[in-house]
Amino acid sequence: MLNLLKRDLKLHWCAMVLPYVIVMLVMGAIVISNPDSALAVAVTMGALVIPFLPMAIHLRENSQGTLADLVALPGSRKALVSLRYIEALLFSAVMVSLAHLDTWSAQSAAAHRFVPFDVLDRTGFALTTMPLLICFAYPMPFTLRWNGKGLAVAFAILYVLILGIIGLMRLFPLKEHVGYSRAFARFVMYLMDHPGQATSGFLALFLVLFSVSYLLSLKAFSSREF
Amino acid sequence: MNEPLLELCGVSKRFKTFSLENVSFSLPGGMFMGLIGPNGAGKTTLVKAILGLVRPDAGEIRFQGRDLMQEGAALRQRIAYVPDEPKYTTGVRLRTLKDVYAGFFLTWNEARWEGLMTDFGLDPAKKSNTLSLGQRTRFALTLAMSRDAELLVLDEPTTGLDPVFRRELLQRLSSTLDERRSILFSTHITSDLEVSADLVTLIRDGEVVFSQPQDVIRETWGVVKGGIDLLDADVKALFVGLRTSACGFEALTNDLEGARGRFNGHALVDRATLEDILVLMGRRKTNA
Amino acid sequence: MKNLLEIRHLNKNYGSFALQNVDLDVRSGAITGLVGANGAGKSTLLKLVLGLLPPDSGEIFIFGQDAMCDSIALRQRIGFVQESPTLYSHLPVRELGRMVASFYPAWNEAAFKRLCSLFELPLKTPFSKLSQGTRMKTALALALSHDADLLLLDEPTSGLDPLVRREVLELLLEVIQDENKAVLFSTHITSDLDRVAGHVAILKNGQLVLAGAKDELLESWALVKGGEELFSGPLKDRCRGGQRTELGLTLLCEGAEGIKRLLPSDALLERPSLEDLVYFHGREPEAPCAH
Repeated sequence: MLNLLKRDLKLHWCAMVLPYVIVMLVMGAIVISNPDSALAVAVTMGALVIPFLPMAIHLRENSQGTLADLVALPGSRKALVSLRYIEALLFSAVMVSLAHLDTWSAQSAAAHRFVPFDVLDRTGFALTTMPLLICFAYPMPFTLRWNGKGLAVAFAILYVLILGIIGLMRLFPLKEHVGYSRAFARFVMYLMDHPGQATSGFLALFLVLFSVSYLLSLKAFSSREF
Repeated sequence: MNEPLLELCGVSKRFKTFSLENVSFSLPGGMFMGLIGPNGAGKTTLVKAILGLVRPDAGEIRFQGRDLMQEGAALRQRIAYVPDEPKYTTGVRLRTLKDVYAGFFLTWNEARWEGLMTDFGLDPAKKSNTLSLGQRTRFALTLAMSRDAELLVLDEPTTGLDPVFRRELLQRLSSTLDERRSILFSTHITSDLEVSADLVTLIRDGEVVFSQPQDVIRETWGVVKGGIDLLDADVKALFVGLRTSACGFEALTNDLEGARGRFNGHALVDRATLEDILVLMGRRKTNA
Repeated sequence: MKNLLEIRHLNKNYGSFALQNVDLDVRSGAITGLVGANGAGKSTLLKLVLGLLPPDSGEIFIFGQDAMCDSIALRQRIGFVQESPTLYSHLPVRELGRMVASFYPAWNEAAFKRLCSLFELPLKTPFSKLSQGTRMKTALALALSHDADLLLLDEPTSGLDPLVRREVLELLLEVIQDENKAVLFSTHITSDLDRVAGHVAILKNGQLVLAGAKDELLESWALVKGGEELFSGPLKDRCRGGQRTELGLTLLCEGAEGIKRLLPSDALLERPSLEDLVYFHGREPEAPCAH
């Protein structure tokens, strides 16, 4: 596994990892130099999209034709899939730590108008796991099986699902004078009041969904042919 | 050790437009096997099956007696692969590509690699995307040959390589053979194999036509050239392949001795080269 | 029989590489093969003839006319295939046919169709999606469909299997049945040259080290195999290339007649194959061969 990580770093440093690092540093600089801006907040949120990186690396290998070489190396396909999942967790951990530093430094009145930082701190776990799930765990099996097209399909499905949910919300309104947004706000308040439950809830959800994604990915990649 | 180094038994694989059917052959240790066949016959699919890139629908592939499909991950430590038209991540120096490659293998000879890079005219500081196909192939060869792999599998490595380099490469490869090591070399330039290959396997339309030592092939297969008037139904039935033109016919027989006897004086009978066999046999099986 | 292509004292300096003083004739009614390592100058030479590059000095005459006069009529009589053809890659084969046809008044649609079916070309697939071999066959079909008098082909059989190579070679032989046509093709596959080339030229590091009629060349060179003592004898001056193997020494020597007398008794004398000629002329000579 260490071999594979080293390989990714050596091969994709210039084209993929370094640009991300630079962008992160620039974003960090923006936040630190101008902590009172909403931009700082938006930028910090943007950092959480890092989980795309392992998938982007995989797609790059696929489009350049080097994926077959990777599979022909002495190692299992399972190891290759695990590589991506480990990378996703690693990169997220690094970025989230940095993002946390940023958010602490950006605690100003202006920022508070846009994002309640106390909420962030307490539902922080949700915030870090959601991107991992949405940007990585969900699309990864699609990508492993169908490459770039798979990724597009995954997000198309997600989009359709969201539209569907909104549609359903319209069709089936909750009891009178209780709108969905009100209900949602109540839910969020509940989570904030019970941070322990919130964190363990999100943790459980994350573990289950991440594992399901991993298993699906193993299956998707093991049948792939070159 | 009496078992062959590499053995394929009944390997089959179905694709939409093409299938490999019941491919079986074995490669003993210390042998250089040439794999030939028309384009689309399945040579590359076979090679990919050995490397785990393609999973056969049926059959077994055994390397040193062990099942490659089950234990491929570990066994590939001992197999070196040079793919058809090698591709590398762009913008990366050859030296870095080498470091990455070498890091996966237990046996790696840095001195040998440096020597090969010099001999093959390659600069380790160059970036992969500045190389032509021929140079990328040479680079892939330096990597594969700098390990002590027991099986070297080369898929069409000689397209775009000049005759001088090819001859020297084949000499080099032949000199690496010992009882434990073998080479599987797939190529369209069959004349290269005439000198270097101990065994030749011919694949056509997804099936093995033969897998035999070169000396047996030389004694068995022949080309008969003669006038059209000689061709009647009985004569045609003797041949495995046939091409006719206005001036006469050229036919393939798998009974050289018999043909010599039968056509003595009436037609020209000669030993068939591998190229003759391929050309006269044609792309698909038509009749028996 | 005349020279359809004449190259005289051609020089082209490319910085790290230079074509030096190249003299070559391509006779009509014959196929001339050009061999050489990658980077020896084969593609550069062809580009110079096609007018894609200006020479530093020297002259090129095509159909007896100075190639530099850049006449369109001249170019329309030339068919060419470049190494790794990257013609308008998004076009499918059929469209490419139409496009190329518009450049050549002598375009023969029937011939093109015949070649497309002979080569089993997928007419609707975009060029860039085709495999290397199919691209080559397409380029050949295009070059052979406008009744060109001079065909200049840069490695036209590269990546093709022996069956298709044989078809291509037979097509080329058909072309030169017409005494007024000629073919110059570069290749790495010496067995192809054996089969069809009447004349052979070997390029090495930008210089033509050997050129002439194939049969004559094979008769005038000899392969001598023996021990180390071969080097010390009078053969040293005649030898143009040599190789040491575990079995002894192999030398390529000039002037097959008369050589027998100079040999020690245990040495073997053989007629070289074209591949041997190409090999020994193409590589750096090992130790004391003259040249």
